[in-house]
Amino acid sequence: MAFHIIGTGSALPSRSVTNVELSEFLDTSDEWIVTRTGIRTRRLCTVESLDDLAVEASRQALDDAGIAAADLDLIICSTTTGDHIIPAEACAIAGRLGVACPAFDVSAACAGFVYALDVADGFLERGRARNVLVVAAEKMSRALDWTDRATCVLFGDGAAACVLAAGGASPLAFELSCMPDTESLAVSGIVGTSPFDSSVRDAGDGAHALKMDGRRVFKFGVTTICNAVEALCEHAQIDIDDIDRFIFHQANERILAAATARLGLDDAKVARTLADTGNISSACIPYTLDTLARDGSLAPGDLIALVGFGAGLATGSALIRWE
Amino acid sequence: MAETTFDRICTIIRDNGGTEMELTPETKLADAGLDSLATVEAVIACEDEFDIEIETDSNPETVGEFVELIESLMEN
Repeated sequence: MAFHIIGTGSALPSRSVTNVELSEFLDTSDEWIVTRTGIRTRRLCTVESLDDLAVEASRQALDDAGIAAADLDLIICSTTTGDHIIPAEACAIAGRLGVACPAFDVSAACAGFVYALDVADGFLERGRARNVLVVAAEKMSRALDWTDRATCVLFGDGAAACVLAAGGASPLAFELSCMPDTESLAVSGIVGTSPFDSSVRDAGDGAHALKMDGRRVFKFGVTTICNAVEALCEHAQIDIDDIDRFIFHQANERILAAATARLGLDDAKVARTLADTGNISSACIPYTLDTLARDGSLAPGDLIALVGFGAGLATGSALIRWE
Repeated sequence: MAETTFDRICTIIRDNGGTEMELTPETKLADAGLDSLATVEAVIACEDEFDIEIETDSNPETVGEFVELIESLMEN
């Protein structure tokens, strides 16, 4: 058996933005946003860099784990909205923590944290590391079209981290998948100014912002949560009732409600944090894990199902034991 | 009398639209309380009810079109 989580941490920007504030410059309302998404406020960066949030979350996780940064053998960061295209966000974290261990990023959009966890598990399993810091950090606010009321109200900024140590009862199962679709949820890359590249074009305002086919992603979310949970149970040879906590990607309350109903889950087992944070992409799952850990909602021995899903269309799910 | 497919689908539409109104094939889904999100939820409920899979690309506007879509998938 490969790992156990020995510490968690998280950091959100200080500025909380309510639905009412958004309705001051968008044709929307608190009632509209709450009924359709379950989101009431989100934290958005004003003066914080993503590096700041990622480092703060990492320091908290190290404190919680009771180990020094120098004890880390590897840092993996899940992000699609880093402060730098190069170097990796993980390198900035390593720099600020003052360590020189290998550090790199994983890009699997909202599912990225679980992908990073699986990569970390591989390093631990192969004996290449003893302590791994897995961070998810997202500054979604910079990827949004702030005139598009259908998307910009959904997201927030934040970072969360876990320290994994070799040995332990996790993972009981990992299931990763991709249903290739580059259109339904996308943010385009750097356009650049190459005089040789005929694809360089002036696409106008908002052309490089996040675009989403809400209906398709909604249905994908519900379907993939259900399929992933069933696959984890089958893989680990356990009954769905044996799972103590479900931490699903926090995209929309109605996705969570539909999946919970479809799987026939006890609603109290399904964690929710999105009302106060919005969708912070891959940081949702570790943020929720940290919130549950800090408020004493997790007991040693608890079996936790994690399901991340999003652009790709990628799904990453894991069954872990809280120790 | 056994409930018809039409009746079963209308129950799902009413549940997801939050309405108790009488539905006819001509009723627009929007008038029955189904915005785009609630339509997807009704689609998901129909998948469970009839054990079928529905593409989200299909975009029925009326109760009649919605029922036709479900029935065409049930025949396959």
